[in-house]
Amino acid sequence: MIKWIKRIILGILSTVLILILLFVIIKPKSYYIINSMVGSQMQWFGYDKEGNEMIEKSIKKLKNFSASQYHSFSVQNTKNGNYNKAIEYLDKASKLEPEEVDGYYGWLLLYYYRDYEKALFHLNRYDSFTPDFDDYPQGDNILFTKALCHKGLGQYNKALDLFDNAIKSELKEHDESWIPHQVYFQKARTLHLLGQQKKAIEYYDKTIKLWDKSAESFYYKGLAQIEINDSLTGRKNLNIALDLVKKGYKTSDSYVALFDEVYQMEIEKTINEL
Amino acid sequence: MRNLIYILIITIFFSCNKKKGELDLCGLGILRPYYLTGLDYEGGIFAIKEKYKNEYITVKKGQNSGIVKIRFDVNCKGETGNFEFETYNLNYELTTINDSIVNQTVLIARKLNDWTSGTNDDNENINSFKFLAIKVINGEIKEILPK
Repeated sequence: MIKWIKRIILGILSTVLILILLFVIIKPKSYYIINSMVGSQMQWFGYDKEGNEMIEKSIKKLKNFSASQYHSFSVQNTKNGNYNKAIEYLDKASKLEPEEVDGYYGWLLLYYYRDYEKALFHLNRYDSFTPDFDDYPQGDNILFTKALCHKGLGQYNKALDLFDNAIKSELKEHDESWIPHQVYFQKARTLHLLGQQKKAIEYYDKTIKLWDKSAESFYYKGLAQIEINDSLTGRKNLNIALDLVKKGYKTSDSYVALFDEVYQMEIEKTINEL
Repeated sequence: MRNLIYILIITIFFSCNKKKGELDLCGLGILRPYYLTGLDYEGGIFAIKEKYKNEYITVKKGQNSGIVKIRFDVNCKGETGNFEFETYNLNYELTTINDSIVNQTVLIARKLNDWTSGTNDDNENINSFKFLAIKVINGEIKEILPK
């Protein structure tokens, strides 16, 4: 009996010793890969300093992470606002495999960083890899994302051309009901910014036809109507927008503010100031 | 096995990583990121932008372009504290920018006092952390992100 107890204790001690030797002293490649993955997971829970330290240590040791691994290290750093790290990793990923990374990178720079010029660089390069195919970075038609970049840069006519191309691209395979309502809404916003209220109202209506709960479309349509002295109808649409927002109907995202997103306080302020 | 390691390490961190500072954190002082708790500001990013629009004064001197990232905690009562900041240039590299920009943007963030605390799965109010990134070009605020 004592002999067996000794054997079990020796067995446990040897296992612990081997594990210490392997993971504390030798540290094989797999240790650093696991270490970086744990670091990334810790960042998801908000421990970005500790997580980044683990990731950086692993990168220093291995130096040959793939583009998708660098991409993954970047994601949580954007969510936690560590912009230097997020961009450093995406630059590395994009350098390694631009054809895989540039779509996401451009989309991210557009929505999360509002860095329109840099976003355009990556989106254009991504688009050039497949000239006969319209890509969908993160689910958005690439022509739509490029149009948003030009709109952000104040290049409204160029943006309008691209919105039209995005609509044509969608209509190649499907009917109008398949066009994401944001495409029409953003075209309407651009026309509105150019001072073409009547044409903008036409596109706000197209958006509403696709989604009759689009609070943002009712809001901006109302503003456009007030601008062309159709105040009564305009006010009515502002009130519809307010009612929709109060009921939770509007386009939004969990992480980042969308372009021309509307808020209850904003609509109330506008109505009160009329 | 990998999942087991994740769970073990995360549990250890949750149980021992407490932050002490100017803010009274609720319970054990555990902080969770804003995107997991549903932390919200009354009026959303619109109200935050309005606050900055009304209080920020354009800075015309010195290094006046870049991004100020302000990270802070919001406890279960919606009170804020433990403000930290980092500044980046427009190429996202750590750098220093005009003190007046940093001081103003952080001070305004400190004055944001309409936070609705985040909640856990049992709908109990909990501590969260949040960040705001203020993009400034030629001394003027161009963007406030993420939401």
